[in-house]
Amino acid sequence: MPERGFATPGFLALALFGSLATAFLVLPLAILCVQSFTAESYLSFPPPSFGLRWYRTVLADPEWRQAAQSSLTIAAIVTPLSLVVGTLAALGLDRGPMRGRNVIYGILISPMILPHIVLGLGLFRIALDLEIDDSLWSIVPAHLTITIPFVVISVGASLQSFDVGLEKAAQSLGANRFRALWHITLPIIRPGLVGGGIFAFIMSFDEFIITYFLAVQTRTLPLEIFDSLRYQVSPSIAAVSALTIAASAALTVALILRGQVMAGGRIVQ
Amino acid sequence: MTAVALDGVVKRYGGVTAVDGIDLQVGKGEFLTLLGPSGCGKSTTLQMIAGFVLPSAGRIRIGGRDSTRLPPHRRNVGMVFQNYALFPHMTLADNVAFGLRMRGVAKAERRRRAGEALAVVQLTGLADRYPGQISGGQQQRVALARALVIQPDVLLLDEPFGALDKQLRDRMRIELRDLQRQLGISLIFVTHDQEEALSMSDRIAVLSEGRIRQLGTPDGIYRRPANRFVAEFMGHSNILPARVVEASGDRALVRAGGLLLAVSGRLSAGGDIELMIRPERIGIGPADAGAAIRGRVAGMQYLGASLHYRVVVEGGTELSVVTPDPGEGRRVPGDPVALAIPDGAPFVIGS
Amino acid sequence: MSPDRHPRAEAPDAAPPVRAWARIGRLRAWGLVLPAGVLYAVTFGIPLAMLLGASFARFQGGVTTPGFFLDNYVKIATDGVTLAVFRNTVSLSLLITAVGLACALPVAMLMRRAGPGLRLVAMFVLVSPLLTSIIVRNVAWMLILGRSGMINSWLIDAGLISAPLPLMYNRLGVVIAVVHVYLPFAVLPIYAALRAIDPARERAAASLGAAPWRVFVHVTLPLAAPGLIAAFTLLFILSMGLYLTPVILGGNFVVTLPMMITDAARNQYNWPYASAMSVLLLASIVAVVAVSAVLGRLFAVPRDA
Ligand SMILES: Nc1ncnc2c1ncn2[C@@H]1O[C@H](COP(=O)(O)OP(=O)(O)OP(=O)(O)O)[C@@H](O)[C@H]1O
Ligand SMILES: [Mg+2]
Repeated sequence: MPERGFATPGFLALALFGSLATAFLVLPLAILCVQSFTAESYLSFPPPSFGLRWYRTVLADPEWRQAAQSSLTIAAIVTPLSLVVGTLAALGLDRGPMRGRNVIYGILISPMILPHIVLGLGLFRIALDLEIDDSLWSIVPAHLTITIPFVVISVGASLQSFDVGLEKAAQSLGANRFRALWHITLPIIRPGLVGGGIFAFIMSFDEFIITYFLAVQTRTLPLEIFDSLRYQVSPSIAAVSALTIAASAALTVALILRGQVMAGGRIVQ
Repeated sequence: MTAVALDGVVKRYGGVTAVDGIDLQVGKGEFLTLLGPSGCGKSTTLQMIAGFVLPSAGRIRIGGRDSTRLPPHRRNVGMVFQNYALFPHMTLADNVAFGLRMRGVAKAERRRRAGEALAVVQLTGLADRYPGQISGGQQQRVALARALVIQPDVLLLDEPFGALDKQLRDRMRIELRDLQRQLGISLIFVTHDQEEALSMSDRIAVLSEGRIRQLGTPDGIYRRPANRFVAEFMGHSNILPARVVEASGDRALVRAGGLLLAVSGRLSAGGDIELMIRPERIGIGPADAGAAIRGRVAGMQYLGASLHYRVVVEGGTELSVVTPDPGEGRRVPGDPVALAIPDGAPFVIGS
Repeated sequence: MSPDRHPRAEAPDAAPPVRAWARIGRLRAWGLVLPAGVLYAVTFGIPLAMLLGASFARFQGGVTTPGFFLDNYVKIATDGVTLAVFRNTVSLSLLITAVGLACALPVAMLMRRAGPGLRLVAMFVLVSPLLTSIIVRNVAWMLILGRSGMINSWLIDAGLISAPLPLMYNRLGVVIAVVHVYLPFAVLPIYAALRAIDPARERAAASLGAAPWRVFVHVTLPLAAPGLIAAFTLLFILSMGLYLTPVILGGNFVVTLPMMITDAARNQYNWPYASAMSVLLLASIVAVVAVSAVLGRLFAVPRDA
């Protein structure tokens, strides 16, 4: 029974397990970050000496820079687009008839459970036919397909707790539907928009397999890391990884402070 | 001139008829209440006036303009929502100024008029707070100020006091009524609370099943209900089947159970009718041999300021009687009592 | 009325009456879904249809003949390799799902009992890996599990072992790394289901004499069943599609269907066969979703009376 502060054996066992699970989730990333500060030319834990050597190397390396830049560019295009398209879809579902809503919702979030390998394969075919493989014209729509579900879920959940009466109030005060949406609804569901946006950004930034199919010349960060792993884990990979972990941690804090956590098609406040 | 006129307004949802042909005129500066039980179509009627629901039939004129098919933002209607619907992300001042902003009023002017409106509802000094930082009663006033500042042709309020506690509700009643008089606003008020309706309105429309059952002044509706539904809905009443014993002109003598009562109204002898007597109009006193109506107390309910007796009179009829609590000398079940029904108290509601 | 004060409100008299919001129709609101719909049609509606079509084409000597042939499906059933890989993928997915659920349930229970502060920490711990690149997390596990990784070098330095343990390039490494990635996906649905349980029900059972474990078995678990089923489905489906982690942490020793698909498409240019295997993968996922829907209905918690 969820009574706090009970030092029953059961609770102690749970607490122990919780600590282990936390260690399991966090320690590998922490260890990676610590190792990335090694001053040696190999990775070990703990490193014999510390320094920023590999960060300097990585930040000066044109290939890593190029990869980071393409990943950022793609994510920067994909995020606002998925916010617009996803928010429109969530609004449409929220305002549309009840009947059929679940079916459309299911279709909208289906890319989450569709194996990305299948998406990648199919997209590769159509991109080849249209001769848009290895370009933003195929990569951006592909990424949108996997990011929009997150926006739909996040914004949809915000809309569910949004009081439509507020929009009516705005209309009774002279706002047309667009202005009511703009001045009232969107500001109020902003946490959902921010949450969806962060997820969209991450999913695009981290996307591997579809890009792997579509890209030839284009090198995104995950592709670059994947290729470098062919030989062994070098300190530069550790430094690159640590940089993305730092960025994710910052985004996580932002997300949690917004009170929105999402996984598996559910929102947990 | 009328502020709002409904002409044969009907609203059907599939097979359900929510509003079944309402004709109603609200005068300039009038306080009109739509009163009725849950589900009788009050909110639907209000929503049609506000433009959120499109009538299935009929016309709606607001401020002399046919508004039947006008979208909400093009009607000049102020609305106070039951949960207030204050914008949580805006300060009180911005909430109040919102309607002016939508009307393109310049910023400085908006602030000035929002300030004035907040002063009218006695919230000066709270302009920069957010709705989450004020009490329910204060939110209520902000909602009122926000609807008033746009100088609407009519102000619509849907059970606005539902969320307030009893004391605050009583105070808001007085404030709203005073404000409405002072500003001369036309106002349509929706409630299912007959006391609220009686205490504030110029006129009341009693609704049931989507129709107006009676339209009139509070006094008229309470004292002279047009039918049994209205009589029962407007508070406790004794409703008795009766037979006309004797009729002459607009006076008649009727028998209800063991009671012989004089009533006014053009009735014909021998006819069956229904009588209504309000419990507080019946006097109760110690039983004495000369009393016209004698009975026995069957039950008593203590209501604080008043006592509510159930008295069984000769012939078996049970009557409700409400009297101010005398403090001492309350009667208890089993006591013999005498009742007095003054002339004019029995009212014929159906024949 | 004061027309000067209501420029906007006065204007419409001249304008034709616009149909009210209510009438604009809830149906028309679905128009807003259209952009997403068009995008989905192009990015996976049409591609999936093409995939299905291609799976019936014939591939011989590097030449693809469109048509309706069952060659590819016959090959899947008879070449001895594909079915084995498929079975391997399913059993790996079941293993991952089982381990994931076993870890997720206690974590979710702990979160339910935790105070708001601890819960926030738990959320951070769960969500931060969710937002961390999968490939980066795989890299982290390589550093720990590899031949000269942290664990092996510590054990060797301590003299406990003489040769490195095979922690990676096998199922063990894959399962560890995948559970690390998917644990949050399992915890959150279970936590949501647990949180919806009114503690009074469990107290009632306890007051009737049920020991804690019996309360758990007879009250908590049945009420949390929908969350567990959701977590199971999600984990299994996600595991079936694994490519990256088996490649990185399994080396060539753990082969999954997605790896075969990639190989067929990218290295052999055998589209028809890659397509047929994709159809198999999709079909198995659809089957799992269907089964879970049935289970979900079976174990649904009846609504309160
Ligand atoms: N959108 C709708 N669809 C179908 N039926 C509706 C809809 N809105 C209202 N109704 C029905 O119309 C009738 C009148 O509803 P309305 O909300 O106007 O009642 P009300 O008098 O405001 O009641 P209450 O005092 O409970 O608020 C009810 O029977 C209700 O079920
Ligand atoms: Mg109502």
